[in-house]
Amino acid sequence: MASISSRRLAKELSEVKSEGCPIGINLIKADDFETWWFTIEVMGESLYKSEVYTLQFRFDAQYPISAPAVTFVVKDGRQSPIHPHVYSNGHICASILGNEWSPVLSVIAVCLTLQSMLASCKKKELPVDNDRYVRTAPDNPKKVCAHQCRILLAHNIC
Amino acid sequence: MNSNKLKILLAQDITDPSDFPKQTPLLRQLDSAARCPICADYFDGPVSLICGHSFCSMCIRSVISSSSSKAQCPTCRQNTTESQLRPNPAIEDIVTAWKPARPFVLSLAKHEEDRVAAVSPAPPKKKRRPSPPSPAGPSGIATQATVECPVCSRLVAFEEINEHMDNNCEATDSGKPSSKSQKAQWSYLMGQPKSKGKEKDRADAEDRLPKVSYDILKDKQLKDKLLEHGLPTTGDRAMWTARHQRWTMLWNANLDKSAPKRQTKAGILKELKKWEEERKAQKEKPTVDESHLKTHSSEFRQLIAAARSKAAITECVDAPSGSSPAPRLPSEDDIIVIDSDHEAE
Repeated sequence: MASISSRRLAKELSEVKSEGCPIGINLIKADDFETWWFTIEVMGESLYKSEVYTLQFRFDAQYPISAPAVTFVVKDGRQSPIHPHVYSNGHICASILGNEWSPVLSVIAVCLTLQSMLASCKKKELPVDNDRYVRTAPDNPKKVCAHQCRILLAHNIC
Repeated sequence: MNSNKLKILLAQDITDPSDFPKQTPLLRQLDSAARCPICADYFDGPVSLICGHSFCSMCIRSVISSSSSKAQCPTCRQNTTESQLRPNPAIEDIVTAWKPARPFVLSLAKHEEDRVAAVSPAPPKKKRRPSPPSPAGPSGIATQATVECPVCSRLVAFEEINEHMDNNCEATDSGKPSSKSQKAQWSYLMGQPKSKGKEKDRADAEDRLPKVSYDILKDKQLKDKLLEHGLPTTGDRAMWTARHQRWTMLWNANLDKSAPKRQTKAGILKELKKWEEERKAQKEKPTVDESHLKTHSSEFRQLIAAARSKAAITECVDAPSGSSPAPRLPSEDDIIVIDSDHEAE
């Protein structure tokens, strides 16, 4: 793996370890610079009160130039939250994980964004085209082809 | 499987603003202000964008070249282009001073933290000076002081400045061809490329490499471009293009550093080689999900067909109605090649 991405992730990890995560977010596992897992919980009053979800981050060698692939874990009894921007396979439709990713963002910044995305939800429902998307989506959300994104945009989902 | 690698990496001396104790938030702030928000390392050849945000030259160049549509400032999302990059020597000076001073300041801060922890209930004592500073203390910095010559604005060692000015700003700088011929100065003013003379020393000829439209070059021309800079011509055309692009980036980023910090051409070549090796190692892992391409091949075909029919319409519109027929319109084949490339990405 290119050294820039490893160095940058090493810094992020050492900061997480020395400073701890923001409230509601916990690091469960980070054994290498390819995949990390966090738990995420919405604090305070919200539709997701006292529900704990697991987030998976996958990094490629271009990180932080390219966005990490972030999904909710839906294996081993873990569930993804029911939310209009979260597909039942754990994929998340958030602009900052796609076109609007910026290399100044970090793993913790993404966690916080997702936390607030959940906190601000008004109604628990699946995305409109959930079935169709889940049927065709590849394992890695970053490999969703551009035309699928356009379809999503056309449906006003993103 | 990589946990060994991880331990090694974490054990490595990777510095971070959180090295400073919590009681000194301003020192943390100072340390992170001297770092590029992209790589989280100290600025290396810092450049500013038109919005004022600064990054390492190589970091922001990578961002700009990798963004598919319009490039944006990673911090504020204002549109930006490579031509807006301006070197920021003030930040560079700060980093140059802070890096060697940091261990000393850090030891002071830690000392203070220990002292406070040890005698916290006791009445405040006067701060005591800790044991002598590390070799990289302030005295170490003073010896390399350089000043800008008021006449030619070149950086010259402080002790040599008088001699330098007495000699009409000539020749005190080691190894630099300082007096330009009149012709060279004129061609510089007129924006013409200076005769480069293929000097193999310090890459401080101030010529930035222009952007190249690789698609319009023939194989031979592309090869010549590589040979011009002494780059290898192994691999295929895609490889040559990538190599030349990277070389241009490294070369231009190098020029964003102040002259004494610049690498030699050999140094840049070495970096290019390292990059190619990393790239090769990555390529061995498949990046495109083949099964995905297969299962959706019908959709891709539809899209290609749609694009084709659109292209046919625009061709009709663009076709000149004047006297002479167009020499050769791009054939459908060309368009398809471009399309399928896009889909494969």
